[in-house]
Amino acid sequence: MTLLPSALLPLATAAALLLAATTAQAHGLAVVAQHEADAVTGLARYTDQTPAAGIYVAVTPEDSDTPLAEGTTGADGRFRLPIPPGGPYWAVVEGEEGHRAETLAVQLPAAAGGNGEATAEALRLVREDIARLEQQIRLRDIIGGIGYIVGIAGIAAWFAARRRG
Amino acid sequence: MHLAEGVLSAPVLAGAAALAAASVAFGLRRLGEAQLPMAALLGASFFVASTIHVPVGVGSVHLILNGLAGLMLGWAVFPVFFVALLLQAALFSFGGFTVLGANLLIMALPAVTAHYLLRRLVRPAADGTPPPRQRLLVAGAACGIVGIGGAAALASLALVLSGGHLFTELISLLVLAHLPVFVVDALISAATVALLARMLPAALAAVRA
Repeated sequence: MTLLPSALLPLATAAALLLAATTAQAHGLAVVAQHEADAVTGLARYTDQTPAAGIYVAVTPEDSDTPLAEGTTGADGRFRLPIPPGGPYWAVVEGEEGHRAETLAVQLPAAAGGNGEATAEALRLVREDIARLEQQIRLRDIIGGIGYIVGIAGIAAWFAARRRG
Repeated sequence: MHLAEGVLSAPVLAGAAALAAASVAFGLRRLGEAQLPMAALLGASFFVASTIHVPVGVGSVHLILNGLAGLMLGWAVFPVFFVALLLQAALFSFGGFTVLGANLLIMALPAVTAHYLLRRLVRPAADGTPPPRQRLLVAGAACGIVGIGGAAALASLALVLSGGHLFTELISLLVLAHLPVFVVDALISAATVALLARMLPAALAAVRA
């Protein structure tokens, strides 16, 4: 009976690693970011809309690749990197399998009054929603792509027929 | 397994693009008229497969099916995958235009390898009897393993040649992360080859020598 658990352990380890590894699958990576008063905030997601958790993120100035701030994304794919005022800044995320995405961190206007943080939060959510809609794989694109393939095959068949005739 | 823009170094990109262009030209000459419908069908499958994400565990996987296409088409997978990858880059921002050459090599080279390794297993005998079902299943499963394994290895190689942030830990993770893809791709490919042999033996007889 002592043999059984020792045989199960590597199996269980492999299964656990597998589960952990599948969070970063072979998808595209996308990022949305904004420049708030004292930080660049944003969200990194894979194209299947799972959050890109724990990956490298950096903020770079527009004219250079040297990062001003570096960090990793949280479990929900969000990040917040403190940054001196100025800009414009770019947010760059680098995931596993050579995934990489960058975006201009849009400068949010400073909110008047005492509810600045609430306004920034609302803008963040709206921008994340817009990004999600942009990144969605749409059925019409898939069907359009199939149409292209059929058309290209048709052109090839036409050429082949002409060569024969 | 689409490498993104800005990850690979310029010499790797240029070398991959040149190799890929030569292979596409060679593949176009090997693409016979009789193969065209099959090529279009497999190209469309490859194009659509990576847009459909199947949840596995806490993440999700998608089919790649490059080995299966390679088995059926041989060198002709190069022009076929070129079109599919171009469309994926244009419509879904998978990969990108500058890395197209590298991504094409990553997907198509293992596919051609699968063709030369496995074509003997699936061709019917001279008298037209199909190969035994077990052998077909093995060949189909091997398509998934050679296709995905080769693609993961080539992607790792391209990343190592370029150097970068996460690339050392990445190599082992890359193969590990693709284990579910291995399994799913191998199962689907095996089922497809076995089904083809039963329903449409002519398709397998056409696998080019």
